[in-house]
Amino acid sequence: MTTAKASSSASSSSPPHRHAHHFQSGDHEFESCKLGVWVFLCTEILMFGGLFVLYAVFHSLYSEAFSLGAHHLDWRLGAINTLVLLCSSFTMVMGIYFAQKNNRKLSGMSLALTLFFGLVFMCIKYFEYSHKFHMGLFPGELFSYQGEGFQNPQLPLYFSLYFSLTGLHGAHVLIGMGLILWVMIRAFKGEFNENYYTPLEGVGLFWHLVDVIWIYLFPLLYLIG
Amino acid sequence: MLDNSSNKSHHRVSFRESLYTLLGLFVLTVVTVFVSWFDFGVLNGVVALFIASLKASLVLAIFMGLRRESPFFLLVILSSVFFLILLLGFNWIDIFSRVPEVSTL
Repeated sequence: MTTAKASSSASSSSPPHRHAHHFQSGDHEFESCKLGVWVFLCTEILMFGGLFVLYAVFHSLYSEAFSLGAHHLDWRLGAINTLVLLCSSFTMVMGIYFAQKNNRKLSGMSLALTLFFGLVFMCIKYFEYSHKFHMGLFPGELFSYQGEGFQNPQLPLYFSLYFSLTGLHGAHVLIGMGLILWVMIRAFKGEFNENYYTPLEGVGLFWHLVDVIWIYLFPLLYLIG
Repeated sequence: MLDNSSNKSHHRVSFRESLYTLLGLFVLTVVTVFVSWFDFGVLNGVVALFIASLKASLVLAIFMGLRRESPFFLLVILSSVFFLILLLGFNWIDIFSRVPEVSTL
């Protein structure tokens, strides 16, 4: 990809950013905002981490049920979803890259592409879920599977965990998409430039974390057992 | 309070670096799948987690900019991982030191 030519919407001197009065400088404001988001990401790590601990412990205790359950997962769909999210992280970074270059059009388009990848992820998720529902594989009490291995008493447990983990992650993808839509509209309006792109940074950090969580989910759910 | 410097003085995203990171992540994803076809017995989970952690580190360092930030940010994220390890560790010790007992009553 060659260096993008400065479009007519790119300004050579961006308007200076007025930082909020309670900060010493724009730098101080930016750093504080970033720290706030990082601390929030820590809470997310602990939340998903709790579910991962659940998964790890029950996987060790009931490996047969987990092996049975994992057979219903298609690793190829999981792998494609991994690549899709990795690409979306890249396009998210590009959104910031172009904002730093004062190119609002390419910045907005990168964010639109990120949104698109998120949509692809959710579509694949939809296919996976509907296939499972079709077979009677539901979380918790709704479990009505009558296929091979259905007598295994811990099989419903596996699927409760599966739906909790991927469902919570999917909810985060949807929330992330909403946030990206918000900053994308702002980017197209030209609200971000080399002097100010803090919302892009914050939303980006959240989106990358959603990607990181999936990076762990994919092997643990699809590839083990 | 006009500040011309604000975000500008900040770390510029490098296109090349980001692209190489993406490609590296693709390669590691292929490795993840490839490695899953071998059986390492007890170490299966460890190997999978290790490769996943490599990928996560790349995303954290390059895409999320941890590499360019002040070390304090790394400390913040590592501390949450530390507490997660504590959670996992103590659960592990508890569950796998349990001796099934039948009530004598």
